[in-house]
Amino acid sequence: MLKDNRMQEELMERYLAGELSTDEKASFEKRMQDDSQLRAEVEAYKSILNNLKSVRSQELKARLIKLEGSVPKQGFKFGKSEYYILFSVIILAVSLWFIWPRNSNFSDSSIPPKNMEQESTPSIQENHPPNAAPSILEDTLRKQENLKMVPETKKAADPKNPIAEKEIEEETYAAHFEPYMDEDLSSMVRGEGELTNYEKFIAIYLKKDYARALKVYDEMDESLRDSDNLLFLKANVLLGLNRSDEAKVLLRRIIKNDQSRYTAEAKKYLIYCR
Amino acid sequence: MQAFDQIYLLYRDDFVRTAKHRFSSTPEADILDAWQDSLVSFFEQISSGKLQTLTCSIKGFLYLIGFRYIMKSHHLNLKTDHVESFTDQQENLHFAEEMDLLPELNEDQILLNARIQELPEQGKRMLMLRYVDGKSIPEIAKEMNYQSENSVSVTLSRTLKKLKDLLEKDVKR
Repeated sequence: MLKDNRMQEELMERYLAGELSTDEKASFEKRMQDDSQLRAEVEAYKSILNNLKSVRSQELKARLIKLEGSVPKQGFKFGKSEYYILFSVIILAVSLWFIWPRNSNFSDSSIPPKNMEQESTPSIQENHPPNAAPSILEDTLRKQENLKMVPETKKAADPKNPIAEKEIEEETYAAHFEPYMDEDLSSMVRGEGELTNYEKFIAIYLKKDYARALKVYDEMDESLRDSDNLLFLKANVLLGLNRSDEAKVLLRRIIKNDQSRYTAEAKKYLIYCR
Repeated sequence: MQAFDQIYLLYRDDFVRTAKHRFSSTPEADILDAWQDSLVSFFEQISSGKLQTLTCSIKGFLYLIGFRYIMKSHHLNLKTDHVESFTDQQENLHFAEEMDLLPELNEDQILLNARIQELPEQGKRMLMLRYVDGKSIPEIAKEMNYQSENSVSVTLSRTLKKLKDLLEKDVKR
């Protein structure tokens, strides 16, 4: 029964992708005519797939809107009219300086200033670095550099107090770390009969029994162990065992190879490596 | 995708300035919206294979599409002076003038986008490869580093079903 359902789903999937042969297609459409439930289901899928193309456009647009948010807003800019006004003000100020009576009390140098102390107090200057506003590209590229992401709490830690910093890091780590899980992993251990070491590893991994998972991993065939997909899970196991230095090495290797389906996730999990 | 971002930023300010000059009554937010749509359309045309070669500059091509979006949103007609600076790029100019602009999104499409974001990343990517890029199961297995094509097929069917269930729940609400 399960097998029939599975075959039915695959047939429908191939029909929707336009991959059935002429005979298969005719036969499937005949079944649809006779089976109103099947027909309704196929129509529902078709409606979804027709709209699927718009999802990519929406994702791209969302990406650009987010990028736009990172563009520094331009401040006040001098146009022609502003230059004319500035020029006029300077002319006026210079003229006033010449016209102003030189012997007035206001400019009498014989009278000492009322508050010398106040005048000599150095003014507080804002000390911006010359290139405080990073260039747009640098800013964007830095934001895309997930590998350099640091949890907010880590940034807030006092660098003079390594113990406090470590505590904060550990809290962050404990609060946020969750091993990677997805439905594919669950489906890998649904087979019947005796489990292979690979299946055992996945099953134990899903139960978050990291110490046992690592033991079973080591018993696996070497060719399997070296797969980047499996190494990603091992990295999770190591993170679960607080062996983040070892996990970091594996995650970096996965990212560098860029051969695993978990490359994107590996970048995310690097955050957990202290 | 970094190149995509960089093109966006590289010409953004100049596009805004040029568009403000040509369409003086258009708010900056609408100009930026048109610039984003122009980039998205450009990407779509390339990924669908409709645009394979570009004989003019990317900038000229993008500007023209961007201007079309501004005109579309403000119900303006194409005037000669909108395109006069691109007259040396006739071939792509014609393509950019004729190509379909992105249609307004309907409710179903917006809802689908929201629900698809709830799916696991693997399944989501698989759906896009299969039904938007038109890749076969073996091609997807290779691209996504799956050892078994059967596993791809199962994940696809399951993801599609999950998506349908999510959307049906929305309809029932």
